[in-house]
Amino acid sequence: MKLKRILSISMTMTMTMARKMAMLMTIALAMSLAATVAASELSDGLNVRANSSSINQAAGPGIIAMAAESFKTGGEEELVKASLLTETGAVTPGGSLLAGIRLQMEDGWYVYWKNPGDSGIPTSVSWNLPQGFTAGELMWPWPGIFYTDSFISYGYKEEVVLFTELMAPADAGTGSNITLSASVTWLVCKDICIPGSAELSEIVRVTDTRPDVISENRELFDRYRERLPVSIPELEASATEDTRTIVLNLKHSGLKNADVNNLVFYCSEEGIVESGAEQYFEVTDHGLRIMLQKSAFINKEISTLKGVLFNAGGWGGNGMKALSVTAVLSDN
Amino acid sequence: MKKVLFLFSFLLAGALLVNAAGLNDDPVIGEPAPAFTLTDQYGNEHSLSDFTGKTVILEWLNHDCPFVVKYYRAGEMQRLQQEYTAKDVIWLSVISSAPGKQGYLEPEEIINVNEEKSVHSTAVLIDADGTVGRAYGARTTPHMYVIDDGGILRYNGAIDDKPTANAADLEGARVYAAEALDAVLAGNEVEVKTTRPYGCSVKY
Repeated sequence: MKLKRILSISMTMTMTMARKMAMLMTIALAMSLAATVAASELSDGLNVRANSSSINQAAGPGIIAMAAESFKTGGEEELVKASLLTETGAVTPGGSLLAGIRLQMEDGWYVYWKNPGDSGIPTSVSWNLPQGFTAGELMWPWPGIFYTDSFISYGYKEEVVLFTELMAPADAGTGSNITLSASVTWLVCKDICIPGSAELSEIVRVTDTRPDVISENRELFDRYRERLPVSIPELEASATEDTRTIVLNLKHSGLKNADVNNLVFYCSEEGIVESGAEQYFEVTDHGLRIMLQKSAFINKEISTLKGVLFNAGGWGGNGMKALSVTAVLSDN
Repeated sequence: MKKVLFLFSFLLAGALLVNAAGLNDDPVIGEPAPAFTLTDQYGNEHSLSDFTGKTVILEWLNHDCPFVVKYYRAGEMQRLQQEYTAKDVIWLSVISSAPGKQGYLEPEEIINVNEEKSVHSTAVLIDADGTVGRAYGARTTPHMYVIDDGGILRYNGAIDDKPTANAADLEGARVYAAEALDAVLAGNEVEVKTTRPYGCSVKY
């Protein structure tokens, strides 16, 4: 299966790129490496094009019948198991704690990233917290890319943890127990799509002393925290646009060492960059230049381009793969 | 705080990337909509050119898709179909699901579903090989296109501005497709000409 995937990547590359032979071989080799990384480290490989015939086989009548039944009965928890976990079992007044919504998907099914791609709906989390408590922005680990027919989806297979930092008010009464509640909605897809939702809650204690990490959650939190895009203050980003393309210029000396074959830019907002279009990366004197095709569905002025620059090979020795990018856009 | 150490030193100055097959040729607003001929549930052929002189709306359809169910279960799609066909609009629902995939219906199944759901479209067109769906770049169900009486594409996108499968969101939604029809029928410029369609992917 893995071999098949790698072969299919090389073939796609060959046909798509139509470059010189030597170049092709280098790319195929690099892609194989990338795919190996993807298969071993990333839960659902970047740049891994699912074999469409196996997708079709998977979409047998049994699955369709089961899914339709789930939709009718609201039994979609069979496809997505949702749970609310906290990093610590307690929070101090004026302090914060990290909460994670863990979603575990049935084999082959996926839920969506904040930009779902060509179709689909982002997963959403809304918090219901005690008086005075506030929730930070939802933090999304970098997504995988899934191909079905002509469409690209950005999302998560198998499992993901979406994080939120929850802040306690300074006057939270110590010694009390509080209930943190979250409403989670998602669209889960595998050939067909089924909406689902869950109401989750967890009780934590307000304490004076700095709370300990819950040991059984530690590994899970660490694993997904590592997949959160990292902001680097020294990274300068600007972008220009014309009618069909957006060119993103990134300045940082460390970017120049990237293997462009390992890179993907995920636009954080849907309907701006054409998800399925090729992206072109070029190493410049100052860093990287990325050429993106605009979506056919842009219907407003874009002033800022936000996204995640993913490097399957990692941005260094510490396992970091995804950089957070925000660029102000100006006309070309 | 993570310290970044850049250790990689590949020297490929080319480009790679992700490439999905062929939905990049989206039809252009203000230009002629792609021509087509398709057969409906009764075996009658319909060509876009048959409707020159009339406003046409195309609705990509899959009755098993929750986003389509949202509109049909509430009777809202049927209400829109009734309202606009009464204004002499040609309402064509297109099923591009391949046989064996979700949403595909045999002609007699379409006739039954139409009766069951009191559908008021002009015709349901069968595009089982997906040719017309691909020519239009139809991505989702629903995905709506409005074509004016001169065959010019005037709207391409979502049915409304509430991308959910929740029927409660029908209330207060801005129905772009209906707005576009109103504008075209009144001879006005369509205000929002394109939006990102939402829904299930078309099951080509």
